[in-house]
Amino acid sequence: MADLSDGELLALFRKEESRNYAFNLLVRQYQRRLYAFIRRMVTDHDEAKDVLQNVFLKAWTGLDGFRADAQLYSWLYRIAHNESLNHLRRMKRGLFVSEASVVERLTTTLDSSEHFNGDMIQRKLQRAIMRLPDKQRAVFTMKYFEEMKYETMSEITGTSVGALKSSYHIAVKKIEQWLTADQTKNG
Amino acid sequence: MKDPNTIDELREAPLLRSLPKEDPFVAPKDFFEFFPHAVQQAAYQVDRERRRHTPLLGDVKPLRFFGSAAALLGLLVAAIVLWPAPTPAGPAVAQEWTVDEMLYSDLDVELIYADADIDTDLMDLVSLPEDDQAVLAYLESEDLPLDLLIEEL
Repeated sequence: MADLSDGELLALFRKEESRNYAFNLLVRQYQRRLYAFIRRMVTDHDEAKDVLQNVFLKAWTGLDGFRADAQLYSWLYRIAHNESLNHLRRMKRGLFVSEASVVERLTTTLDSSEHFNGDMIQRKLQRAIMRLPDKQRAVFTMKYFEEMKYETMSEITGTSVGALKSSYHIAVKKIEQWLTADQTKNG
Repeated sequence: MKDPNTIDELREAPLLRSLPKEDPFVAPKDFFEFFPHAVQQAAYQVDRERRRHTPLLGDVKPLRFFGSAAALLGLLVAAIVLWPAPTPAGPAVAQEWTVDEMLYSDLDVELIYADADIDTDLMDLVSLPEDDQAVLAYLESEDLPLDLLIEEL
């Protein structure tokens, strides 16, 4: 079935009789893209599933107040972005650990995950991305993988375009450095 | 959503640029088939919890609730404004039907006065002057003490 437009989905959602049907369509329409972003942020599939569920539950309760002039995907992405960062923050608080320990945990999860099918170079790239601070990792993921416009990223993150460009530029330099160092070390 | 400037930003990162942009993260088989149902169930649960915490509202949506509340408030205000004012129990009515009059309404007052040998001329009302100076002059002329008048009042 072809994807419905935001307007069509919202119109269906606002009718009592088609509310559940519309929500089901909305989840089906956006789940893969949001999952990909969240999974890159939290690494583990089960954690990504929980965060993704929270995103859609927030959408379920907040969709009545959604402004029709905004893009549904940007709105959902913003919730996913915030929920992912909150999840990582809670993880640090719960474990009483440093940033380095969290990176180590994420790397271990990546190495032991049965739901990761990248080759060695992909694994190295993911490890390098995990070393970035959470917010910078989100910026890198949106720009590098999703190829989003800075204006859209600005809407999602609530950060200025200038700050986002700068953050992405620094992230690219760091990753390139880490990849090069790793290549040199391993010959 | 694609930004044509993306490639340019990687010009200083040849290694990163050479890598294919793959998504190595995979979800378990059929995950995306079952996930919408799981979310829908969780959404029902959320609704149930919300109703449990606001039992009076039940299925009422916020907009409908506030609309109904506003209508009720309007009716209440209208009722207060338009409610007929009660007829005041004026002093005239009370004077017409004092307890004494109700008790002795069948008695001839003149006859009683005559029986008691009371000079009714003395019972005529004395009209007192209205202003303070006149009252003081009256008290002086009658040689009455002021505190006596105050006590009487």
